[in-house]
Amino acid sequence: MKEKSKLLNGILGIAWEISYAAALMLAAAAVCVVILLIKL
Amino acid sequence: MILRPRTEDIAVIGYHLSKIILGIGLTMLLPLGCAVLSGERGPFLDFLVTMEIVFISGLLMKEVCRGAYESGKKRAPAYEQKISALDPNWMHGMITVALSWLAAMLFGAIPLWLSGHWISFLDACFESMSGFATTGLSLVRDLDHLSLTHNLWRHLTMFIGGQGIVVVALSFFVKGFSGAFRMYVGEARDERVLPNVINTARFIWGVSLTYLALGTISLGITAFLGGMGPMRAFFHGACLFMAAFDTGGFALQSQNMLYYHNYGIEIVTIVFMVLGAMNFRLHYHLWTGNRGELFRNIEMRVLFVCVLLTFVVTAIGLKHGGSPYSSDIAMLFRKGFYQLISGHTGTGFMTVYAEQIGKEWSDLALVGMICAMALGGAVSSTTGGIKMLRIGIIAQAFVQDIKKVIFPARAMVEQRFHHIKEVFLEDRTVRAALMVTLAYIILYGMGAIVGMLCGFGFLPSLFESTSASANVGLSCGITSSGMPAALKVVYMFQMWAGRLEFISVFTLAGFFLAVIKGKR
Repeated sequence: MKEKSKLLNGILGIAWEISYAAALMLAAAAVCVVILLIKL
Repeated sequence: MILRPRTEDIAVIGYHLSKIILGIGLTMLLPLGCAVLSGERGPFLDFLVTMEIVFISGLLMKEVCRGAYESGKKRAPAYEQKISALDPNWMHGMITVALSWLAAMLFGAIPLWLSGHWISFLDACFESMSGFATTGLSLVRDLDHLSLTHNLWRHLTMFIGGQGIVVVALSFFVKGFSGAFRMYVGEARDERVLPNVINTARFIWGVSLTYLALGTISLGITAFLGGMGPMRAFFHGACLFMAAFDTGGFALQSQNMLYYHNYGIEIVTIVFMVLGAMNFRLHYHLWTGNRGELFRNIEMRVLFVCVLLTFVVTAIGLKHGGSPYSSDIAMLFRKGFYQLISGHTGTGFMTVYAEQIGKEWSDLALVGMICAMALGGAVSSTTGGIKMLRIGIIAQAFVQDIKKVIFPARAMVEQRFHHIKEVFLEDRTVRAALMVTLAYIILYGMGAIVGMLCGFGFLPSLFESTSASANVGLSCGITSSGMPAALKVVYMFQMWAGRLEFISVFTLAGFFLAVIKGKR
């Protein structure tokens, strides 16, 4: 049981880390849109 | 008064250095196995010869240093003879680490030089240092025809260097000893994940090997779906992972990431570059259920803000500079953001040619990239540069000073930040962060001056210098086998000093000074 929850925590931890990278990419994509749409 | 080091000091350093050299030799078993499996006879002999040189040097050094230590101890006063055997003190640990990286560079360069793809041993040393320091600047010629074995070794140097050469030795080849922590700190890792430093080193390897499996599978499948043969796809997957997660940036092909021209590979490598820029201590907390740490941690917050701010500057620079991809959202992301995140995490993967950055990118875009490279990722990660924790601490110190001006004179102004736990900002913490930041800025500037002395422009010189010092590996066209030898040596020094974050390097310089000028 303890091993199972350790594994689950590890998998969720990895998912969390990947979601951070995904959020960073989404934010960057939003920056691309804004920079190209607005006139500076 | 400076005291001249004793024979025993040199013997202790040499003894531990020899152990790490033997560890480096053992890691060469992997490319040797690769040469056997792939039937590459020439590379097999290159690695066999190198391993013989490494083992003979390591074993000889070990025995000589042990003998010198024993004979020196017999001459010492009785009270000193009771002090424990060959355990290193802080000075020994720091110097051993600084020399270990130089030894790794020298021995790691031998098989590369023997391959004939580097025009001189200096170039092979440059490549080896670039690999171990996870920089990614390369002087290889005809990379597209380099053997699988040598390419595996190039990527393996990044994997070993990313975790830390001493961490490798502590994890696999050295049994626990009391000086382990001193060497661990000397390798620019001042944070222990677990109370025991050996367990910390093993946890770091656990994270890296878990991601190695995930990375090889995900990148291998993506490359396979992109049209590569299965064996080749997974070999490329493993090497790309090592270069991305260890923020190294070596590529298997001369066109770097342009070779794949694959959106999937670019996205997956961005993910691994960001994961590689995370603190190993943060990995531990996230993997053990403390997932809120991701949002509270000062480093992750500062990284998010810095990436976006530097990208805004770079993107505006690209738009105004009229670069070929400045009017298309997808291209701005693939060329602008990819280079930026590659630079910020200290990786050095490129989806444009180096000459394009030098010739097509505007000055503002270059400045955005230089800032991103200079800042780097998290402490205790595989990245180089000033690092997010220090930037966060300096920003907090500014906030505290502003509060002191605004608040009534009698008010107690306390500043806190969250890094694994709540930490009160202290003057000594700010001082330490500022000192390292200043040292990096001096290092960036020093390389830029040498670049300009060699005839290159200010911004390209600063770009390349920052790339070398912050262990990034992006190039705007200066780094090539034809560049002046002096510049190669300066970049090698920058990669070494930047990777070790100065303390070990300064200790080594002090040690040599003591040998020359010290009194008995």
